[in-house]
Amino acid sequence: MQKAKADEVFMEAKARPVEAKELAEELNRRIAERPELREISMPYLAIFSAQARVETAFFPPPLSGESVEARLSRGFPALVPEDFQADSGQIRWLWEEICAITARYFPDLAPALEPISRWPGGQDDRLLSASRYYLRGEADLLAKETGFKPHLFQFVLNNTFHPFLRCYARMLAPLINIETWYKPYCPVCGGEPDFAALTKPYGARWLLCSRCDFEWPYRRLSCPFCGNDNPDQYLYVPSENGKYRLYLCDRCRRYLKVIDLRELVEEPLLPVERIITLPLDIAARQEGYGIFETFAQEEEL
Amino acid sequence: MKITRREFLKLTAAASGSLLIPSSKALAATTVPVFPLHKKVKEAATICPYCSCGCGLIIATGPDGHIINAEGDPDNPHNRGALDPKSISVRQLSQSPLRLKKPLYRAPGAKEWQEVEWDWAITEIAKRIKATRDATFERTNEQGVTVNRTQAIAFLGGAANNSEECYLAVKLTRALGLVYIDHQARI
Repeated sequence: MQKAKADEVFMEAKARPVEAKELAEELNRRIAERPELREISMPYLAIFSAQARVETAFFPPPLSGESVEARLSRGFPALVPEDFQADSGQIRWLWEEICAITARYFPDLAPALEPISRWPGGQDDRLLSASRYYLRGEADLLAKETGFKPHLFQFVLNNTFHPFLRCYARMLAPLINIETWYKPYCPVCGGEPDFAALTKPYGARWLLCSRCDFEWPYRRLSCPFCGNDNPDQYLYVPSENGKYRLYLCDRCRRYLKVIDLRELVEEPLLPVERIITLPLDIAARQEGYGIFETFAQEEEL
Repeated sequence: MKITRREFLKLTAAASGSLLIPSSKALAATTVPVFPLHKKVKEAATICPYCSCGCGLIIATGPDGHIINAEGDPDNPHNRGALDPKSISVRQLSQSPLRLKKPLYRAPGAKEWQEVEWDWAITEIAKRIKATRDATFERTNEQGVTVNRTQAIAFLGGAANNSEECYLAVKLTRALGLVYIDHQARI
């Protein structure tokens, strides 16, 4: 038997997450290859460009290696909500920019975005406190408090804090031993995955954090949302070219989009793949599967 | 893909984290590529049935229950996804047109193998075990010590035998008086 060395499979940690500037360039390349993706991708191109402006100017305050190690050893992510620090002016700018871009490309949503864009009035400090809600996974509570559409609010929160968290992830990545982590939530920020890749050479599944774009390995035959590993309830649907898989959990009714890197020569950027695979999201939703736990509470806009 | 505006809004009401599914304008132009959900694949973890290493396998089966893929299990600590060529071919255990479906028998002095029925083969094996055992059974050894054994029959188990099967095999072979008992201990 050919014994695989541990580091062959597990230590392929890339210099990721990559910066928004690079994501924008990659997305542009992909649009050029597949023009049919242009229309659905353009808003994200604009969002990447806005995020890139913040990302180049943001330097996260360092965290003590000892506290990070202690947290990770107890199963907590390296970054706890109280650690998150950023200039509220930067957050404000990006918050409004995300709302403006979204309203420009999704005119139907403009009326709902207008009050979100103005929130929280002159109290910019509340944007920082919103990050705490967001990192605790309680954005829906804040949405309820403010009266905003929960998922639209979540979208703005996510895209506003994404570049800040990407910077944190890049800073914290060297402190994280992904081989010993092996949990379904992100070791950097505790976020859930919303995309994954089956990596070369042996198909180990690496999850992509929905918040900070950090990638880490996790069990392939288990739903990362509910732990279901019953083969009769956790199935996948392959794309016709075998490049993508849509994993569907019949226990929690959630889905995960996966790219099989073994089928590719090139090394794609997963945050870009997340966007150009929107048809998979639509297909999963049509079958009644959701990405968030609160999917059942979704409402019509 | 044709989706009505209402269906679209219903589908896109939820942003999935970083994503918001496309504008109604885009959908009106029906430019969204289709991802058909026509074939669900089931994946189950198992162990390679060949040698004693016990490599982890992932077996994928289609809606009809037939194996469509077999590959190493990257989460199995024994092999972490790597497989030798024989393990990679494990799918042929169920699908190869060359696999044996009946026992083969080659009579003493014969050149050719012939297919036989299981009933015949099992009965024949039982008859020959009994005949050999009866002819070679030793109640005592040269020192007069009780041994109740036969040295004319040996038992060799396979790598795929699990603990429970091995237990039964040892019960049977010890009862027959066999002393040459071995198998490829594994799972």
